[in-house]
Amino acid sequence: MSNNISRRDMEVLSAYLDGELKGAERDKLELRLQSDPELNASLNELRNMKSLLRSSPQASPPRHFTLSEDMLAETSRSFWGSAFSLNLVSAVASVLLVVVLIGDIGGFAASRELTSLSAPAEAFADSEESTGVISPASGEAIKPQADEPDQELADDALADLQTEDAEANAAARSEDSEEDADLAAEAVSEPAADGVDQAAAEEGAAAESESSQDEFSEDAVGEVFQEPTASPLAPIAESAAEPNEKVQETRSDVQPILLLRVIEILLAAIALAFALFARRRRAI
Amino acid sequence: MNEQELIQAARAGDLDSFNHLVLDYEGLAYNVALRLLGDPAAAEDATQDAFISAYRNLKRYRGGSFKAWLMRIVTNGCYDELRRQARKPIAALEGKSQDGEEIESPSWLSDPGESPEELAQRVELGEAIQDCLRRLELDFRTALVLVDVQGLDYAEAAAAMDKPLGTLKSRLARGRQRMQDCLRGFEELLPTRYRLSGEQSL
Repeated sequence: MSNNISRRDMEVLSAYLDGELKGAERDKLELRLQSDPELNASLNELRNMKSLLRSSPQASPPRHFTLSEDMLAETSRSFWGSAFSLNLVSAVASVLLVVVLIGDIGGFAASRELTSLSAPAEAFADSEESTGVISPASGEAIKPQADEPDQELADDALADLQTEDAEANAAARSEDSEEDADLAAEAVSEPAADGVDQAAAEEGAAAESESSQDEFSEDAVGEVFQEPTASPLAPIAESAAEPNEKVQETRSDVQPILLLRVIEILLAAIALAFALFARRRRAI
Repeated sequence: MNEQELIQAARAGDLDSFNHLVLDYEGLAYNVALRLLGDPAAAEDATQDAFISAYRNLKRYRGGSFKAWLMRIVTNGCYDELRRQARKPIAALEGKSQDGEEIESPSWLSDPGESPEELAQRVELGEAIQDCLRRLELDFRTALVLVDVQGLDYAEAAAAMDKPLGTLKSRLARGRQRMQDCLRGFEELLPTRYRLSGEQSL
């Protein structure tokens, strides 16, 4: 009986019954069937069962399943519950998450790269505040990698004129110097301009612009590291130089990062949640 | 219009053309769903959902057997419904068959102490067949329903199940073997010519 038939024989018999066994395999089986009554019995049993199943009554559908415009309009309202839309939302959230992460990590990396730039810039600003003077050495650009920027800049400052305009601009830079690191990540580095030290350009010194030297000093020649927004901010620069303002700046730097983290977590949660729901509503 | 012309028209948004296709296949779709799900109401919902889904996704039909493509939508919908049912608390009590394979039929616990012989005393032949189908693992059941009950050929059934031809053959053979084992318990219900003895029928 078929109880004893091997799984392999059952597959061969099953395919033979449906006319799906071809060539040598079929010939081989037909030979075996002639000499093996048990295999023959199994084939007949299989044939009987197939006939039984094929002749089992078909149920009449309780109604027609034709579609109407109303039916389609109604189901389209549930579009947002469909697996397709859930997958779409998940995919969009995932892409946004990747973009935000790249921006976050890229921005972080850029900030680290520019640490050497921002540190001397702060020192530069400090020295200017202390002396009320801004003026790099004549014909030289700021070198962020200078070993002792304080001393160097202070010396430069002492050698130059002291003007109210210069003081105001120095204060403006002191405000902007901390932002340089962050902004530099987004800004495109300008090609080295006239008189700009190549090293400074390679450090990604974004937003370098030629300063209006006349505002500082007739003797002050060359380029200064200056944020483009420095001039518009100059009128409020003095108040911005207050210590309390610096504390606020630190907070304002931290808040966007926290916000970024929250957005990342939210996007990851949305992507995961919608993907899970979509799995439950697998589309065709 | 022939079938391909109806499909093209339906793709262009002609709902009447699509409804011609619905009328052609609704019997097959409903019976496949009924055999897989074992519940008329669930089969009705699955059939309607399948046609709506087919209409919406008609642009994804890449030629070949429209019947197989449609049956794939129907079987996928039924699989989803069975998974949904399986998440219900009673599904946690699902057991294993003798060779350790999961029994997915929701009716497995309908009467745990009842043997096929005892069942035979109170059920009609059609119910016996349905009961045996429901005892099969889902892929075996689908293969049997599509090929043996509904008469699809191997290529159509393999396409409907989204499985290679070899897998379909294997599932069908094993499903038939288990179906035979189950139906032996209903031998006395079977018409003489369908008795699962080794004698040639007819």
